[in-house]
Amino acid sequence: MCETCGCGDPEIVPIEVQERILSDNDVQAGHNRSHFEALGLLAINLMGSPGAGKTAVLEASAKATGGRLKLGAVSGDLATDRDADRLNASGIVSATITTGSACHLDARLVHRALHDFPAADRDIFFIENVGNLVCPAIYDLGQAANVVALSVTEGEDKPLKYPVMFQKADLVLLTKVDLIPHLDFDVAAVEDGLARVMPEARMLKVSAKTGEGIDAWLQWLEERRPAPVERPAEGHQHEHSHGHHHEHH
Amino acid sequence: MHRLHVKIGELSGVEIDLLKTAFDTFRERTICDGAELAIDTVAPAWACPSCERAVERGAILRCDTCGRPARMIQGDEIILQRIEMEAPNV
Repeated sequence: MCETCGCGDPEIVPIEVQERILSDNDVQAGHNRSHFEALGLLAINLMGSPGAGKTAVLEASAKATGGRLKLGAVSGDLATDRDADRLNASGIVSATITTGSACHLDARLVHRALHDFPAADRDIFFIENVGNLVCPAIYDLGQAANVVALSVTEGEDKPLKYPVMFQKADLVLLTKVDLIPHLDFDVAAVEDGLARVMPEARMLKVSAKTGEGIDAWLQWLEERRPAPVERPAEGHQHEHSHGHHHEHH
Repeated sequence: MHRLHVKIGELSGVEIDLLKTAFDTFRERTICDGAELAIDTVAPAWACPSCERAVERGAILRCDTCGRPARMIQGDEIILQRIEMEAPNV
């Protein structure tokens, strides 16, 4: 009973919680991260608008690396397998995560896809997020780095208009730069916008069509690859915080 | 449940009005039915990691003095801070 005035109302008790509302996703992302680290795999969360050229950059990367790096990818797609089909055709081992009407990937969806994915012999694992400059930025997937593809046809103002996305980026790939001669596009304005939302602004200009900048992008990836680990030939067994045990390949 | 206090950064990616709508929708027939959602919004702020000088929102996110990239010190949080609930009437 209320002891302040004796009114008979039930007492209201405040309870301190101080917990991140997406902490479930954070736990799952941590689990994914330990998978990637155990496999010696560089995991990249590749984000950007629909049509920014995410798949095309990966195709060009596969072509440029010529099998020197073993690439894998999962692509978040609302309704089709088209991106994964394109990537498989380019030599990147790929699978689709069908998201239905969901506009982003979360750590659980990526984890589920990892169960069936032959990740063990890959060097770099791309998580091609759903085309969207808003929601994907909020969900940690366990990646080592966030990369945002921004195409020159989207306009220079995107970093300032979508600060939540760009503030989380470790690298921005300015894509389709072969089109710049045909557009009134100001590269310096994008760089200025990025410097105002992204503390360690880093941008590479690339063209999947001409191959410009793809070597610099591959170099950036190489620099982030973890030290090689001893990989068991038969996959690995490990404890799961989510109450099941299984082998990974 | 009487009240939930949440803290939402302006650059967290959470839209306050939509969060309120979602709360109103999903609290029905739960212990939060009738509970108030109290939201503290947090403006983003950046500072130099070495000399702690503040860097203004909208400015180049680099320390004027030492040139180091600024670090976001607040503005991207999504936190359930506190709940207020009725204690059993004893």
